[in-house]
Amino acid sequence: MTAPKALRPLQVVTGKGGVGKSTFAAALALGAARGGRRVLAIEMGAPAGLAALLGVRPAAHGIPVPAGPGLHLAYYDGEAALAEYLLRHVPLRGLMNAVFAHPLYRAFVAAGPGVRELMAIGKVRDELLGLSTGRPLWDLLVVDAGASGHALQLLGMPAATARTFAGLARREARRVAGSLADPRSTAIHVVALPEEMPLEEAAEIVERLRGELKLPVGRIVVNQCRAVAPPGAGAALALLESGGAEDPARRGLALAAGRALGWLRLQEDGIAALERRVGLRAERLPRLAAEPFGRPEVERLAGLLEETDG
Amino acid sequence: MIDAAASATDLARVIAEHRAIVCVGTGGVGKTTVAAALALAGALAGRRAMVLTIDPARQLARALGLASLRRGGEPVAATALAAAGLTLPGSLSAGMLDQKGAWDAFITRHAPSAEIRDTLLRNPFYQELSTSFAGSTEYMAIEELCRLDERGDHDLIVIDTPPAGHAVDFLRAPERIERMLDPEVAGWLARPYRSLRRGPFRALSASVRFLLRSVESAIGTRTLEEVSAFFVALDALFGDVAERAARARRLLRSERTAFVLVVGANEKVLAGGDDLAATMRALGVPLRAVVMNRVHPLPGGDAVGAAAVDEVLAGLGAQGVDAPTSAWLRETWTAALATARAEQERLAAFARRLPPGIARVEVPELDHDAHSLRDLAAVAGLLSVPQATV
Repeated sequence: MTAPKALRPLQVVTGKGGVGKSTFAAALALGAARGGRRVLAIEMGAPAGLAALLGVRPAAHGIPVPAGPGLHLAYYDGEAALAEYLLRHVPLRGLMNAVFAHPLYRAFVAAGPGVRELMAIGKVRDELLGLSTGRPLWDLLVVDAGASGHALQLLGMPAATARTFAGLARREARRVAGSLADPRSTAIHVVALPEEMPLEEAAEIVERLRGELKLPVGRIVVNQCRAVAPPGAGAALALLESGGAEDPARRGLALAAGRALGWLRLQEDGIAALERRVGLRAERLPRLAAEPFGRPEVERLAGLLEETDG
Repeated sequence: MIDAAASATDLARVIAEHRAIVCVGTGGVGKTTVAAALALAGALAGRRAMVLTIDPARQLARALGLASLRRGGEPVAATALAAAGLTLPGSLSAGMLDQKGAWDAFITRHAPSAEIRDTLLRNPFYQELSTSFAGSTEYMAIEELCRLDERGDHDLIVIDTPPAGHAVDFLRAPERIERMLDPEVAGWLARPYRSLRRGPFRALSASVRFLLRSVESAIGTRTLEEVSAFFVALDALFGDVAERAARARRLLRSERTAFVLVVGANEKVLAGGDDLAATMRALGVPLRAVVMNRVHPLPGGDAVGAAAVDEVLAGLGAQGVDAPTSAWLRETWTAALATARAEQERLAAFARRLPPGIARVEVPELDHDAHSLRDLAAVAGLLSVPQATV
């Protein structure tokens, strides 16, 4: 086997809700593992889309489970990561468990602004560097950061808390913010659907990453793209519509073709506008009709992906 | 088609009979569009309607012909309505929740003195809380709903909620705020930090003492002092804030409020819909209707078979349509038919899992993104037709 191409070790996936972020993250992780890398796919919060698509379910926070050759899946929960962090500084489990159960802790620390997000992202960095195991276990981490609104808050948190926190947490926040912002180690991929508004929102996400957040943008991926129609499709649709409206078969064909062509036009115009606006090429993933959409479909998509950081 | 349950109320009545409608659903189902269309349907039925979105996207503004959505809302321009051929017996306004602005306004309204107000607004912990506290957007959306409800300028307020897992946060937001304001907890936090270290600090339990020390070293003294200062200042508002949170919780469960669940016809979204419906039942909030959005129509209806389609295609072939185009047409039709049939099955199964008495409406997929007032009016029309069956 040839040595896999060097990808940035921290691959983060985001996009608007419902565009197939987890699908791309799962395909990216599978593809990278097939290329001979040791890959850990990570969900933030709780097992959700990635676990369903890969068909495995991690039982507890931070414990990777095998999900195929070279591939593991874990989920990171912010509150559990915070408890781990505090235990590292105060290694007295019995006493700390009492603290963790205390209403004061529950009301402020665990629910407090930014702390959980910082700790979850901090754990991603620890895992990348192999801080808890003494040596790095993974060549690549693929993080499903969730819907853009929440994900951008998550990714911006280390920098924000580095400004507001003091003491150890500030140092931690600075370190994490530094790794995230480093284009040598991190690529943040933005996923979209081939429709007007999701494509525009992808452009807005890219602009926010580049602007206020100053984080390295990776690939732009357009999920569920329609295959291009043959050149005669428009003329054939006009013929269908020119007569026999009372024939349901003719009407059905015209409806299906009309919609397909309409959406195709929006797809092509929208992708072109996005590429112009952000100055990056958008990769296309095909629409697969399968439902339920599961691991076999993800395996297929993984075979179609390029090996690139964008 | 799905048979409506005998007790099903229709969505037109939900729109006519409620003061507040809360749209919930997972991401990407067109919740914002449905929320705007519900408000427009209300305005078309003579109500003074307002739609409030907390989705940061600009979709709604564009759909309503507003350059930007202002806090507190703004009437949709008469010229935009006229251009879309709409005459409203009622009225339509739209607004977007500005989370930080809403918190600041809330503090300003409830602070008993200018000094306390300024202390709070300048406090770094407050500034973090008001911008990034989990559930803070959600809580402010409910607070805004209460405020609009009290002000009485509108008799229908439709509110859009954030997507995905956050919809559950929305439902739980008042409880979370109330829990944070638990007098016992708040009492500790409100004690000036310095005195915690000396006198009263010694009286606290070992675990609290330990917590304060470990948190102090892990997060930093400054933050704890800020938190303490925040709660000292907030103390003056406690009665008010707790009362507001309790009121918000009551409004969400009141008979005047209806929850509308928006779903799409794919497995993942419908599973998310099941979860949301279960959470709503557990929390005692009233789910009144389900909008099944962007449902693909059967191309040509139920009766069309492959033989009839091939006959049409043969005719097209005689008129000069080439084989690849003919094959594409056939594939496109087959795919559209398969999609429509599968969606009908999934939606029927989902409907069977819902409790009885919930209105159900299908909105067919348009042939483009819904983003004009005309599109919204088309959706509003579908939403407000009284349904014998849906």
